[in-house]
Amino acid sequence: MKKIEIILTSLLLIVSIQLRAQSVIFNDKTIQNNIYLRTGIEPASMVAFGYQRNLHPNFLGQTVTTFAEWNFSAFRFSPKNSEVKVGGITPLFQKSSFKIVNNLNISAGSVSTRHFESKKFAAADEIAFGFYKAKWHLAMTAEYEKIFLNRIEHTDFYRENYYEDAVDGWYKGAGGMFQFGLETGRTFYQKYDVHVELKVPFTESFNSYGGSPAHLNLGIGYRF
Amino acid sequence: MKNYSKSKTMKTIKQFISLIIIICASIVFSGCDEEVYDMDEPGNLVPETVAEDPLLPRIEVNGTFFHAETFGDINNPIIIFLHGGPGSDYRAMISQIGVENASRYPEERTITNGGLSQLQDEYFCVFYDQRGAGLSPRFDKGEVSFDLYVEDLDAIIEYYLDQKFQETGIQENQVYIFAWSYGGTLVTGYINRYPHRVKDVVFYEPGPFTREGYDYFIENTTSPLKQIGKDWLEQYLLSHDHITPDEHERADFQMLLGAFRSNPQFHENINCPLWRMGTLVANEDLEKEDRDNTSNLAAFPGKMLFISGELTYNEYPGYKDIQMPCYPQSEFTVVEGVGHTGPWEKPDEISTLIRNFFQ
Repeated sequence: MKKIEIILTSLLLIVSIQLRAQSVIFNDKTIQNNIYLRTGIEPASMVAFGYQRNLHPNFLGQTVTTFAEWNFSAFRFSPKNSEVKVGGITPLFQKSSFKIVNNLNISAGSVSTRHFESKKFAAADEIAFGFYKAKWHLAMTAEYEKIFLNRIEHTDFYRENYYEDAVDGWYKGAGGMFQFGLETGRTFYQKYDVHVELKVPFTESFNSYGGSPAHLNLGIGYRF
Repeated sequence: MKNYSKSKTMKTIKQFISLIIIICASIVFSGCDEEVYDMDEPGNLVPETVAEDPLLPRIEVNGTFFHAETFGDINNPIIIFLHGGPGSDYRAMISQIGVENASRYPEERTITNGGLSQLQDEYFCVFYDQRGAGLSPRFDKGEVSFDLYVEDLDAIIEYYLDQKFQETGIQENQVYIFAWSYGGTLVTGYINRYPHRVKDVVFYEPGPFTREGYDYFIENTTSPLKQIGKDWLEQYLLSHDHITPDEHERADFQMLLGAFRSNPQFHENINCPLWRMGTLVANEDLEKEDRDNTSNLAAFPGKMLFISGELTYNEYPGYKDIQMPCYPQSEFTVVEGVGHTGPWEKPDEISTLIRNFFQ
């Protein structure tokens, strides 16, 4: 059983997902699971469904919150405009209620536009610095995501009206982004979480991101 | 025994991690015999500019190359055509609805007098992509300015007047101008500086000449913030999760998602063609700056015709009353049934208006 736990923890750490605007349950020793719903703008209007589970691997000596999430475009609700994330959160440093928390994630997403369809594969890491109490937390966050591969297919519309010689295929070089923000959350009645996060995105060269000037997320969760 | 167990466990973990990485890599690179392209390599996502493609028509003036071509007999009066944006290109002015869009390679076109280039029967028509726009070369932030755009236009006018003199012996010092959208802002700034270089000018829904015109335009235009949920905006925003605009190719590719869709008041036909959008100049403050574009327009001896599409005019009814008084001699007319992409949708009607006005 211990070996299975270790393997699963390792697997989830490798294919880890970035925690974005989710409840923090690694502080709570009484529960193991959390399901949540999240909505906001990141990078477009979105809805996400997620599940978290606390693991307590002996060799790490602390709780790891692993989770899986599936998020959709709120206005273009379709698997073609969605993203799957899996990942894990673990505190790297703690002194009293102050913690430095790390999130590692891998995501695979799809987007369908009038001009092209894209599949993307990315990895990201977020560091949060803040105070994590039993019923609330407040932290500043810094995140970096790197898109390492895309599959781009151009539409007939794009070829007819813009560029007939556009190249379909696998692409590298889509770039990456930084986000810096603030997140906070509170637990009610020991079971219900509300979480808010505000982030400002930049490209990895610290140029204007070009999309929404800020990303905002609101999440609600249920612990069990 | 405990140490042996831990060592074996760590070995198992390492093996499993290796296996997972191999599996993930295989999944990701399935069909690994396929080439992996670079998004920033010219020509993959968007067409190459004249800096990269030697087959594109061009001229060299004012220290750089411009994507440019001409139609007609140089013995005839010259019309310079200016596109909008900023950042757009002249493809829509040499194409027309219902006909295959003009190829960027002139020899591949199915027709040679499409769109407004039909005026080549009476005029020597010059089309060019402005600096950093269309298929003209790209520049970095801070390297493009409105003043430079004005000097580019003057250099292009001088280039063709000189060419006309060299080839025909006809010495002229004026041209006609047609300008679309932002091109109107640019041309007004040019005429303000060089009022005697232009004979007459025709605008199709020109960009604002003054701060007052700009403010009116903004007040009556639905901002992107109020368009949350609109298809084009969702696509544009979602694309940022897949591509970041740090290089010109990626940025221009992404910017096209908003082309002809981002302003509902313009009633644009989304099938209006482009070759490539110059994102950096589109985002530069070439339109919004408070600058003097009109203080010397009283010295302009020519006439100005303001053409508006009916659909756009209904959205901005007071706009012409702000714009037209800037010019000492101005007229106004409406083309029915079209919006901001009128020159591509009704080029015959607009060409007739141009002919009649320049006569």
